[in-house]
Amino acid sequence: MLADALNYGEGESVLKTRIKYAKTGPLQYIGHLDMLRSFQKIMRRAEVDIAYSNGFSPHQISSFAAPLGIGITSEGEYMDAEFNSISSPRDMIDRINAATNTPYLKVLGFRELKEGEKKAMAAVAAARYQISLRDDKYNDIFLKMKDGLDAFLNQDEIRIVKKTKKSEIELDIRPLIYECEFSYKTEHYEAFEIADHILDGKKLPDKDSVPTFSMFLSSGSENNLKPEAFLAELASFTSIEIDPIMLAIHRIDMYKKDENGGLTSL
Amino acid sequence: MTKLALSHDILMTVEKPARYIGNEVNMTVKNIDDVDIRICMCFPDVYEVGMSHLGIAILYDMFNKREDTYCERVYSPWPDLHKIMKERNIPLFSLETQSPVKDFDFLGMTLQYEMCYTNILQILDLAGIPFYAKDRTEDDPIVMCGGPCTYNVEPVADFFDLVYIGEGEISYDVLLPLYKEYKALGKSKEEFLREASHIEGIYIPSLYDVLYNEDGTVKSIEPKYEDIPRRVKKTIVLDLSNTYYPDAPLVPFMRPINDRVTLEIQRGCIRGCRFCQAGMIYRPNRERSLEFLKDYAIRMLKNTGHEEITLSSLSSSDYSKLPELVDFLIKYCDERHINISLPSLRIDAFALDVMNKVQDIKKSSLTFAPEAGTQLMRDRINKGLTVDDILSGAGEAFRGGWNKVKLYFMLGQPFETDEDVLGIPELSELIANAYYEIPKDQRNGRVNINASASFFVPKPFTPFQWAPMDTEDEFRRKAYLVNDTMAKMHNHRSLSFQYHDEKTTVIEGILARGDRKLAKALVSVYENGGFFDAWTEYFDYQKWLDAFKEHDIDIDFYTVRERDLDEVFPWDVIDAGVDKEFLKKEYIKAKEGVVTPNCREQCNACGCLKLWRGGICLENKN
Repeated sequence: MLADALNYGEGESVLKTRIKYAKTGPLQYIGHLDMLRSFQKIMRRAEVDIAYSNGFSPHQISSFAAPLGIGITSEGEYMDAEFNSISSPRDMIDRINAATNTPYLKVLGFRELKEGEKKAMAAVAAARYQISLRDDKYNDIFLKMKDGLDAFLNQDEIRIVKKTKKSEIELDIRPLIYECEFSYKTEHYEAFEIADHILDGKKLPDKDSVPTFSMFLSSGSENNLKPEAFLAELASFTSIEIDPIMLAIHRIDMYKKDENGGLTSL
Repeated sequence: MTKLALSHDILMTVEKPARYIGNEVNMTVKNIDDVDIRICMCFPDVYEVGMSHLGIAILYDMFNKREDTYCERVYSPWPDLHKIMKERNIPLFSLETQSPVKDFDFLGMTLQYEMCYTNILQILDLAGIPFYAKDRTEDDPIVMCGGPCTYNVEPVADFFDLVYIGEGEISYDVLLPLYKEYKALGKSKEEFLREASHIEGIYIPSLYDVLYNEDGTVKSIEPKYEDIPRRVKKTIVLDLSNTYYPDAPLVPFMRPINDRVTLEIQRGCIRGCRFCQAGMIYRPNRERSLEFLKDYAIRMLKNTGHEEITLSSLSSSDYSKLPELVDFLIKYCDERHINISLPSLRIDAFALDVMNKVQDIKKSSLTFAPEAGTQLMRDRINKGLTVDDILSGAGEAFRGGWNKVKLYFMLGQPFETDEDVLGIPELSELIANAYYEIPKDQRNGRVNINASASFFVPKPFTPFQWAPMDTEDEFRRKAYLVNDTMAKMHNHRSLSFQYHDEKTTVIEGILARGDRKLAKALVSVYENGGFFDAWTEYFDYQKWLDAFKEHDIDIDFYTVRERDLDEVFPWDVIDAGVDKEFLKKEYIKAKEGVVTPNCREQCNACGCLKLWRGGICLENKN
């Protein structure tokens, strides 16, 4: 029944798609693996015609771009999913959003992948983040760090020691930092506010402006620089101690390398 | 956004913060200013366990259908968070509104197993509510409980203001309006509880005096006032196809123990196994209609998005419309890539056919629950399963490609001899032989027979409520005997054996048939740091022994003592429907090794027919 209404593709081949979503509020404490499971249930509730693997325990064919750490919010998450049939992107978004059953998880975009386009997981090359403070009593810390930001970025190289399971390697992270600036920015919005804004043009609510570091960093399977690791380096450069627990980290978007060597949104 | 009760730094420190943030799919959202009654339902164990419980799911849905009530939830904080909450004085909070449990009108706990009793105290402690009902004020919530353990709630009776005996769908629709009325009139908790004691299924422990004989047994249980019933009769739902059932149960983000739709097909059991408390206290057997189950299966799958559905009952094979239901589910689920799991099926041609359709034979195993190793012992416990049943079922399965078998046994049941104990390895060996009799080219490698034994705990309201329990040493001896004999079997490489922890069993045994004298010891265990006793890694036997010693409690009095047939039991204040006389007869028949037919074959006059006109009792009335 649902397949009839939605079926606009004729062939048997599956449609590869990319879904962009936001995950905020209390859901920042839901781990990556639990999100994968939850999306499977969301797709079932949405009654969309997602493709399944064969066998006794069939599972939906989907994969995710870079996993989001616990305690981090985002308005730039991506999953790739295969469908047997789809309707218009807007209809797909509406169906899935009606099925998330929470204001803190909303789909923002849905598109078919181009022929030969890499999976999100493999394509991600950079990510944009905003980091603010969980409590304004720490504001002084950011203001001091801001004063050292130019000098920090003006270094030719920034060597850090990266610990892996087996060894410690020295790494220059300067080439992995594409941009970083300090400004007062509005606190990030919740998933439903962003969805209402992007999809229906609703006005974003008024929120306070807070001291924020915005950064554009190399990301992905090679040359991954975590925003909190970057900020910790900046802090130690400015002789300040920070605890990651003070930080509200928000992922804005993820990027892939385009044909011209530039970076465009996944 | 509701502010979370725990700060970011705490949520980032504790294991699995998803346990404490609420916001699950299908969570009920209400404004607390719009309701008259706030109920916090609690499963006193960790979130993943509690979220898998059907009873709370039913009550959550039922309470929240009331406009005047908002039902929320709380579970036991894991020891890591427990420590932080104690250190920083963070009061226990509900998941929905993230607000203090102490502010609720009711705190309702479900008591599913005795080993969660210390967690009752943890919940009260973290909530800032006094342990003992007598020490609470008008500002504290009314602390109530329900569930199977309430059929002998006496060891924890002093911790509860109100105990609900029976199935929850019945009396809350009387209790809650009464509460609202009394609250509006400004009447006291004491006045409310006194009036509540007149409602069917409501037991108010503080309204009874328990008198003891010199030997420590109960002399009598006396209502304090004339208007208080001498015995509290359980409530049951007579028409299970016309009652509350959640069509949109909660779906947690983190994986619960039971990550699937649970379709309860019937309550009660026709079998009458003499060791089984559930088989006695949930009588009479009542089925839900096929139409009800089909309708709910579809709605629940749609509303949850679960990829699996399971049928819940004490003995699914006895559900009279099982083939029709299973056919329907297979058709519906197959189109939608949904798995079906069918626990508690008796292995026969029908079961094998169904299992063949819904499971991967290579991965799945056959499960038999003979519960005892010899036919005499199976007759004593009234388990109507013969060696022929097992061997023919297994043989057919082996020829169909199965090669894994699970066998469930109990050690230490009444009148058990070493011959019965040795029956466990012998039966395992027979099943292995049945496998290897199949020509090599028609079987699937080596067979794998996994026997496991739990130690028997006599439970109230069963024919074995009078029986002595084995000692800790005796349990161990029997388990070693099985293990050593298993190793000497010809097919020993195909057999394996596991058994439960005998120390936990001893504590369970004390609590199961305990009385109000145990409350003090429970408080001591908790105050010495003991809780989460249902978890092997947190169970500390020594803490229990110390607490019993401190309060002069004789373990053997509760466990290994054979009760006199005329003894007054602490749980005699409850009327579970089955007569004590019927249970006595069953106990004597067990001694003689005589079986009792099941309820469908013949009414055995257990007492239920007198009380309720429904379910199997009516089916048989001709």
